Amino acid sequence: MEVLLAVESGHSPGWVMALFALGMLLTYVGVAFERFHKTVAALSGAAVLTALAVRLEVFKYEEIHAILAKDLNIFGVIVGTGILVDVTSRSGLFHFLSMGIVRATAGRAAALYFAICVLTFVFVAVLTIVPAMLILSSLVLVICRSLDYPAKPFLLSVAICANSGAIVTFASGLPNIMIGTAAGIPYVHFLMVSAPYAVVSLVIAIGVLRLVFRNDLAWRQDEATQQALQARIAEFDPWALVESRWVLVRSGVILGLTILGFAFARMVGVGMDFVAMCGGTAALLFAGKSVEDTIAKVNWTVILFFVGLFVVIGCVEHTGALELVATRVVDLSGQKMAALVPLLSLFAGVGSAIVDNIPVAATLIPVVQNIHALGVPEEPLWWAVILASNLGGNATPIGSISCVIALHTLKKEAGVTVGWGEFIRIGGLIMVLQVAGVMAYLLAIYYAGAFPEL
Amino acid sequence: MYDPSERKIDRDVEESMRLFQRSQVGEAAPLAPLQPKRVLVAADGSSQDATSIAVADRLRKRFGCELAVLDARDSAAGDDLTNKLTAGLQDVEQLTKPSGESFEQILSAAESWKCDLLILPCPYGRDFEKVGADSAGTVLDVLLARSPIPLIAIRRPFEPEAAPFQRVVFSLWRENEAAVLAASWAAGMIAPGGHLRLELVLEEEFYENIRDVMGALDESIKFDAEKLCNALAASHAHMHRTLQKTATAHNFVYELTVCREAEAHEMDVTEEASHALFAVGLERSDHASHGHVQDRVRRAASPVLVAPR
Repeated sequence: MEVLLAVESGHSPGWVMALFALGMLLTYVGVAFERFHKTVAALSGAAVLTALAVRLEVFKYEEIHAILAKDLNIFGVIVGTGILVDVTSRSGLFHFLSMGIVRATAGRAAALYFAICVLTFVFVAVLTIVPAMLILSSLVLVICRSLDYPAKPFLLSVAICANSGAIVTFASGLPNIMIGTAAGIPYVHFLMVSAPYAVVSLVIAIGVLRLVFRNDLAWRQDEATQQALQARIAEFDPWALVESRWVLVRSGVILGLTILGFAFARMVGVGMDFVAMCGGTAALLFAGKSVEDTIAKVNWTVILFFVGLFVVIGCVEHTGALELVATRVVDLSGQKMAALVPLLSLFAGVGSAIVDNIPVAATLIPVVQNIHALGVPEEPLWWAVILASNLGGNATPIGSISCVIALHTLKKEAGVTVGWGEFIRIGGLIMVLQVAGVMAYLLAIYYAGAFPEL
Repeated sequence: MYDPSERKIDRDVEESMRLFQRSQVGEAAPLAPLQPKRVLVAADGSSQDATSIAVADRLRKRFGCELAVLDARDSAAGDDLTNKLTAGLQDVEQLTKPSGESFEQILSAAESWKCDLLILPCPYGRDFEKVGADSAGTVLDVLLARSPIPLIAIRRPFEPEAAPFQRVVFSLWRENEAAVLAASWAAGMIAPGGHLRLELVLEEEFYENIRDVMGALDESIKFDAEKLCNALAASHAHMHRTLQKTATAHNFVYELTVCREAEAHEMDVTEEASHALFAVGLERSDHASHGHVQDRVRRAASPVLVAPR
């Protein structure tokens, strides 16, 4: 009877909320510590919570489909951009561009270092973290071996600068896509709010990294060394990476048009998923060499991870637990933005450093929606979650996939191990500065009344 | 964002590193395309003769080269074949038939007339449709072994375009001493604004042998065809860059494809529809190279250019 009453009022009893919150927490522990595969952890959590939800009459089974249906557009974006990125990467466009830029530095340590950091930022902004990290990590290893530079300063910098690149646009990272879709944030708003801070966070990162690695690289090199480096870097010819100029050009054009499509999607009345799928289809039509291989490269692991995650969060949301959290947060902050923005930034940043920014963002989406329903302006809160959940990953070796890839590659290919302590001293400091900057930046915009309205 | 396993990271990073390493080609100068100055057409009275003459005539118009025709049948049929073939064509020399078998006549005429390109039907003295891919014929076998100059084997009859060879496919299977020569001819024969494709082919037999040997040496080594395709591309990176520069310098489109044998065969069918010219290098001292060239000629329905060294 108690259960039925709770369902009718839209809220489950406290113990049910606590049970489901515990289920979500255990799922996140599974995701964070990878005792299981992340996707298996998410799907297992989804199966258990769904069974509990049906058994405890939190909702009827059919509601599961409604939970997933509202996130179908995210799957469209992931599939479309996945195909597009794979085709573009195969065309050699990004390998070509990166080698060309590296060659332009003439191999000088300082120029090379800053070029690699900026390249990382730009590539992640366009390609997302994983494909960009694979390109940049391999580039760093090949160039460092050729020029006898230590790989560690470069790879750690690539890992950390990648998280700044992830906040540039709507499509630069999955938390952006999830939040941008849920909140209906137009692409251009990212360029107005998120991209400027991405540059600021990059400057913070490079500043700290330059200081940390002041003795690890020959920042000043004499004329003879520079000439020797120039000769060695001239051995690399970026055009040798291009199998077909037409495929390269077509891939570049399709990618450019897709980015434009993202920017104008709302204006023409379509969703980002439609643009992404059109971009992916065009890539398969005009620039793809192997359709089967490319479709097989779509990241089904991520899609299944999302299916599990959305079901877990949907179950918890239906108990009313997240609404309760939102109410408590608003009460705690006294509805003051000066307290809410730091609170959310801190939670998103620290949570992302420990777990993974995707579950953190996914959990905070309904929380922010509930806070907004209580009459609090939503814009600063969404941006706080987007910026902090991406930058929070800098704090620990497992906080971001960019750090995972860089540290693993560094160990495997260069035989260099970076411990947790050493990484946290560098990445943690950068994360603290960047997240503090997020708070100051967003509050400044809020009090200046300069947030573009949703 | 996603959770690639360490094995997947390793594989993807290694693949990307190999790609970057392919760009370490040093200086790669463009090739000087080779074009014929004296073309000898050997006729056998088959349906391919008309195509041989038409192709030679188009090349003459394009390059301003000299043209001669030889009736190289084993025995004279008394039907004045060369007159029939050159009817309506100006300034085509009709060579006196030397003695000997067909291949001896052709080699002798080529030497005495000092031609730099031979065009002949293949299979010699028989229709393509009757023999198909089963045999390229003895005449071609002997010419491949003895001819010091490149030859174009005309397979199935067709009407060449005004500017023949809009598409040229230059195939390489592995290291080949005649590769640069063949590439120079391929670049020289392509029509202005045409399309040259360097096709690096991974043979199934070669792949299986390497895989078995690697497996025998170290069971932990995971060896797949993709790795070998990458290695093939890496070992031909200099040729790729050279052809790329040649394409820019001589205004034609160029692309590289790296594929397994079955994929190459599928692509051949498409190329043949546009009467592409297939180009191959023949390294005389290499048995494998002989096998590749003969297989290439036998399978083709389009003309095949063979440049020997």
